[in-house]
Amino acid sequence: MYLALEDYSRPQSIEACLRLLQQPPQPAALLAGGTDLNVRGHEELRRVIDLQALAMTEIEALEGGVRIGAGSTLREIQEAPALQGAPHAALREAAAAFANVAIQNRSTIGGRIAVERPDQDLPPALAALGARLQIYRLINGVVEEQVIDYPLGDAARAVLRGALIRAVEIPAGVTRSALRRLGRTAVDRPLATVAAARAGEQVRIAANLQGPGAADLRRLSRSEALVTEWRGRLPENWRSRLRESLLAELNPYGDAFAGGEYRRDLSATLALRAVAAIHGEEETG
Amino acid sequence: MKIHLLVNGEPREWECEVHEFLTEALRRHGLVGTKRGCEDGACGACAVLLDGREVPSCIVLAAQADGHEITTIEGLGDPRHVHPIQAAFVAATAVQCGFCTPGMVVATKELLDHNPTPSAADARRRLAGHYCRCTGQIKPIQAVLDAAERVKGAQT
Repeated sequence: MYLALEDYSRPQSIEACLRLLQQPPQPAALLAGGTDLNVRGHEELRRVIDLQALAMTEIEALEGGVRIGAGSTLREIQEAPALQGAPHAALREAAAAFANVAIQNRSTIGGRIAVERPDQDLPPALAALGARLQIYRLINGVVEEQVIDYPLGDAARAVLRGALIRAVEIPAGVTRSALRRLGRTAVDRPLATVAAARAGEQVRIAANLQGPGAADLRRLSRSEALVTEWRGRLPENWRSRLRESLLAELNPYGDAFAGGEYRRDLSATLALRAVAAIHGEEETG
Repeated sequence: MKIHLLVNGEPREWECEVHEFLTEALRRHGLVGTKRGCEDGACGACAVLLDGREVPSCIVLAAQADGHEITTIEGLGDPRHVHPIQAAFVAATAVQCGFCTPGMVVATKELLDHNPTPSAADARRRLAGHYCRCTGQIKPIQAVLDAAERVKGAQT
């Protein structure tokens, strides 16, 4: 038990929620599923603001894309009719890979984006799908809405501090996506995760090498450009050429779970398989 | 703070601390079949159904459960009125010390509510977040498959 909370509230509107967030006693935090509430580092937390009354749980097709309310659970994401099919496979696979089913019943997509834990599969899936976030902030006492690209890296994530994530928008145009990951067991944190998505001829590849914070989530732009150049028709030696490109732009991050070189090589292999999957190729190499 | 919830079909009004988790609130009110385990949502010993969905009660603040329906192991059956899922766990000798069993039974209830004919893979996936350190994982999976048959039989 790490918590010493003094206050719990359940506001009925986004504005009330953002105003409560700035009131004493501090520090205060927004509470979604609560899967990262009772953890080390929250000893000083004094207030939680429960988002459940805001009912941000819609998952709906929207102009070819999909809008996912930030309060949608990982289980709901796996089951939503609007997210079935090849374009959103990476998102479903990321949601199904997180922890266990009971946690997936509580953990929300907004909560997973807001926490800065490295052990996540959703960020590379969202980055590869070109996700955008609808967020609300209180600026000079006025509620302001922003729609931003999914933030990559610690610096870009600064925009999320003090903000409420309202929804995730997956744009139209993606025809196939795939996520490949490896963890020691079904419920362990992943050693590495790579997602790839194809929108027409354009290919996006995002990798999470599980480094500290959100710093190791990145788009692999040189490898993306290489695959995009092939215009959907992979050449005979595509695996060796892509592996060379991937290894050149992946950082070797090592920790107690896996050595740096191993994790880099693993990530390259996962990327090759994800790229093969979105092109309907056999997943070898 | 006061919370109002439906526990095993009965309306309850409980006084809770702001920082109290649902596991503690349930146990403090005599529902000790819900076990305190990892307190991190990883082991499954504290599983209950919240509005019909399995959740780890150790990560749900009691305050978050205000206005919701909770089903604990006590709501499924007791020694005199054993639920078919409980009977299946006994028949498969999927119970030794019994500490993890309530969570597994609750998880099986939710699985069968949504998928009455689960495969072994479905059962394995469902119990992946339920750790057993004496019976092991094989017999509980057999119990889930047997429970599906028993529940189906009880309904026909």
